[in-house]
Amino acid sequence: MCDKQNIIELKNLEIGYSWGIKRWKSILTGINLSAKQGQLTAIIGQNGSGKSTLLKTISRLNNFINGDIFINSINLNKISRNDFAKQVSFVSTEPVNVSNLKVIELITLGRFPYTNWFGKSNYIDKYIVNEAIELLNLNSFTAKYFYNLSDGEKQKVMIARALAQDTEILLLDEPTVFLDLPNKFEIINILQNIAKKKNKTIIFSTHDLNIAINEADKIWLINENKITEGAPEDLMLNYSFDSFFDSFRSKQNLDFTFDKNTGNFKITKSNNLNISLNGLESHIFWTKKALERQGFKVELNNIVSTNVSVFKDNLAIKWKLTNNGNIIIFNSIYELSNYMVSVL
Amino acid sequence: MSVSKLFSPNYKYIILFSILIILFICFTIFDLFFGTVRIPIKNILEIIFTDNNVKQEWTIIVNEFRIPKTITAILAGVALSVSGLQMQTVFKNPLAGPDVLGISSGASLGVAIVLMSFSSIFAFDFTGLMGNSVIIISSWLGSALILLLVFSVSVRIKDIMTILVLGILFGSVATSAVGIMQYFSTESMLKSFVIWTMGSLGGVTKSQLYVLTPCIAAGLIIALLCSKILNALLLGENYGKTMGLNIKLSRLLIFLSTSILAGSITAFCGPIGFIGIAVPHLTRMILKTSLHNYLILGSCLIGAIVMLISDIISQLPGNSITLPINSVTALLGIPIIAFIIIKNYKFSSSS
Repeated sequence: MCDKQNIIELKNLEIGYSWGIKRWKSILTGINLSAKQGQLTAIIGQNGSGKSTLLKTISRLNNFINGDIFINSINLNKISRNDFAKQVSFVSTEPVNVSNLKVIELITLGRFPYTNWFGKSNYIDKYIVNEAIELLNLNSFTAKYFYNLSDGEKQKVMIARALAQDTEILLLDEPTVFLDLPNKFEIINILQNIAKKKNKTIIFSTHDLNIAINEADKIWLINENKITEGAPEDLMLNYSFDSFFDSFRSKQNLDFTFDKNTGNFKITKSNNLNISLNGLESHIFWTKKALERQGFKVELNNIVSTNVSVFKDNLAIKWKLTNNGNIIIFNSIYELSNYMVSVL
Repeated sequence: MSVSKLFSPNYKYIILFSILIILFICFTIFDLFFGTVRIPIKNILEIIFTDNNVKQEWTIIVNEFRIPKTITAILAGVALSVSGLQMQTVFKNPLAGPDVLGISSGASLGVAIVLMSFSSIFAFDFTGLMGNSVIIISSWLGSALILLLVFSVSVRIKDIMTILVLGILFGSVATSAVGIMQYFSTESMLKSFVIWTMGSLGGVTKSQLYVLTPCIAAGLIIALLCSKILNALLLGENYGKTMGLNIKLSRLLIFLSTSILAGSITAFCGPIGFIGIAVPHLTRMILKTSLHNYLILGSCLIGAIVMLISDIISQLPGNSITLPINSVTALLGIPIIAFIIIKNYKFSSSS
């Protein structure tokens, strides 16, 4: 099964940023990681943990302090500037504000390493640009001005520009950060598509744990100045995520738990009242979710002194709360949970 | 979508450039017509294009004064606009102009040293014919000094904004040095310096044009060679780097081009303000593009046209009065800048 080659290898890498002239502030040491062709790798870590620095180091925007980076088994420092640009492209978080530039013109800028001194694009350039536009479904946008697009569309254009650079490796710094949920999933979906269809190596950093855990082939997890790698499921089972969240909890004074069974996590509230729930199958799931959000512990099997049951009354769904013998009927989950929070 | 349809040639540019070229020719002829002596356009064209015998003094006026002045106006418009355009792109700042690197302040310093310090020491009048070239050389040396400082900083410093700030600081140092010299200089020296700062297109002689023209041509060629680099810089230096752009070389080339263009014009015509800031905006607004392959050529034409208009306005009072060109360009340029900034900031190079 090991037919896919390690495109990127980081060996004993120490990264950081320059601090004044010839002074270095180290952020992460002993980084040993790799990424394979055709795979989506997500970098996860807290703010300031060095996700961006790592990506910028691999894309040669930052220098590194120690160690080696290999691209296709060639040492990073031995690759010429132009050859490197043909192998690695980068999409950064910094917003690009450029007026009067059409989408097609911006994407064509990605052909920079291939075009001649005057930047004239030949047939191959045009073909590859067209391919990038089609992969990202930007056909109807090409004649529009970049500054008129929405954030999600802008991000797609920037990814198309990176694709036009026609590199094996695509690095993206928080590609989903300013986007709403549907756009987030669209971008990740596109990235997965590109990785599989075009056999590209894609590495992106993200704060969206749900997306990373569910969609990435591999995760580079930065936790307390250490970095581990593996499939999301591996990290889940070997407790890497647990310690990651532990350090989160202690830092942010926030209590939440990570549900290993679903891959989701939720904020835990201090309300520890036990409640039993029964009734209509179709409505139990969402009622449970709402009550748990308010911090109640919901039991579905045995009956306790506080009980909620969902029933049908003349085609309308009602919620019946039984608390120490008092019975109150509610018309919606919202009414029910409001009452329970204020009274119980 | 087919590839050929996606990249279909844009006839808009052909039309726009044709209009600009026609306007340019019209204003060139118009500018030749204006001057202290009234010569009919018919005779002016006769003098330029035919060997017909026209009045002797008219021939001299046209050949020795009108034509050099018009060519100087065109060169100044081209040079200042193109250097301003480059600075706005490199610094991603809509208010950047040719003098952000401190070039004109450096030039002023050079001229001030010659006009106010040396002339008082050697008791020599530099405003004579020979003094003219001394002023040019000193102005060039002054801007070269500032340029050298900016160069040495720019290869060491990563952040382009730091260079912008340092350029402004160097310029301020030069300006305050000039201020000190002004304080200690005599009235007549002060006057000749102040007149130099007002700028003049008429001071450039025919023989000096043989020096100025190749300089502007060289600067312009470097700028045209940089158009791909400038396009990549639209996305910022980081994107440029990841696309294989050599940042240090690019900065060097662009700063060199800007200094040759703006430095030469400042040396020969004195500091001329606001053309370098206003024209690139005007060009973006008219051409509606950010690609420098078009913007540089557009800035050349529009810059020349605006400068010719300024020159015509400065002659308007008629008779022997000519308004200082620097005041005219300011009065013309500032409303354009204000209009663009208020009306539609989208046309600036960054928002």
